[in-house]
Amino acid sequence: MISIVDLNNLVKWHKNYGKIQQRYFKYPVKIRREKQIEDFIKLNGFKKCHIIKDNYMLESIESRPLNESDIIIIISQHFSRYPCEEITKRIKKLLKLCPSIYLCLNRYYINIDNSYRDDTLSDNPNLAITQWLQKNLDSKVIDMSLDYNDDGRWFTWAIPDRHYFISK
Amino acid sequence: MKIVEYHDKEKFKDDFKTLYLRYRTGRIRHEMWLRNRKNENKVIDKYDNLVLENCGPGKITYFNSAGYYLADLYPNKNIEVIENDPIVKKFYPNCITANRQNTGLELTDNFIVTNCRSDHWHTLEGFTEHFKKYISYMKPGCRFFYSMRDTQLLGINRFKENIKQKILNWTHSLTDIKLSLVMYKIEIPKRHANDTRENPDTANGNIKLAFVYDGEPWSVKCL
Repeated sequence: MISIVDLNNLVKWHKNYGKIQQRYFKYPVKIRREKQIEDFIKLNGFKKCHIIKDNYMLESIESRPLNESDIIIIISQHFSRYPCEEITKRIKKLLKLCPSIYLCLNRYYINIDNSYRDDTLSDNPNLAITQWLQKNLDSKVIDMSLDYNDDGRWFTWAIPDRHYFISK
Repeated sequence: MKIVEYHDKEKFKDDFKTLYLRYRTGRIRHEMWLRNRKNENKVIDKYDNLVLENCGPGKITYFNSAGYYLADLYPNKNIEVIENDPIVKKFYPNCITANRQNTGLELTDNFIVTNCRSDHWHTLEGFTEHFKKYISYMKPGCRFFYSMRDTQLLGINRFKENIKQKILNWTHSLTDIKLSLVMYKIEIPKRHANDTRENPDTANGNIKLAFVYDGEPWSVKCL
């Protein structure tokens, strides 16, 4: 007997995918984006980080309670999947609790439901994300990402690719 | 410890375990084969069932889509399994190892590519180039079922373009290579504020298309 099923309960690799990919290498490796965040925190003197994540990355940084933090680091893929208005609303809310945010967004998820429209933004999708944040937040937004054409090899599902430092 | 920006096959181990793991993580539909091997009660995904119900008579070719799980379920159907990764032949010896361009296999009546990871990370024009190769497997009148994910598609500015319309316009341009759209389902649902799920159907893709190659459309069965 053959039953017809919905495949939605197949293994979701996201939580471990980066770690698995690292095991493919002939030698131990560290993902550059993870080091970028760690070094940013260290070199800029942040001491109390609150981390919003949905995988094993950034284990070297202790996550402190939100109300004690001097910076919030967001690498959760889920955050990029909120509708656009919800992302900016949540950033504003977090900035009321903490003066600085290191925000990582996955370029492929932004405006995931394709419901937000702004024709004034750049034709370059990477720059358009930065402009959208700058336009919709009353805060300083610094883009610290690379502008590159993706080919699926850049560990974006381990740590999202667009990196922003946002401060009041 | 070396710092890496992206993964690079040249720097990967090449033992069976690593090659299999790379295949396994890139082909989530492989899990269906693993499940069915271990269970008396066999299962088929509802999209795969829909596709099989809409296949015409003759040969059914699955390309890079873990089609071996379906070939095992339906030994009486003429299902041909092609994978471009040679590792598959190690655990499924009946698989044919071949690339997008047909270099001598007999033409087929139905050609199916479901959420093929090695096709991703291209613009729609890049997909046209894939399809130009795929038609080398097809007889005139061949039914072609293709599905993919919008979040792994390049060349789209999600702030400025209607993705569904852009994809539909692209599918209509494929008449230049004798592919006529017969049915489609593109799911990019509007979501409420707290919804952080993926767009639907991570296993098969939220963009599902069916074409006929150099022939007349068929009367579609919707299950």
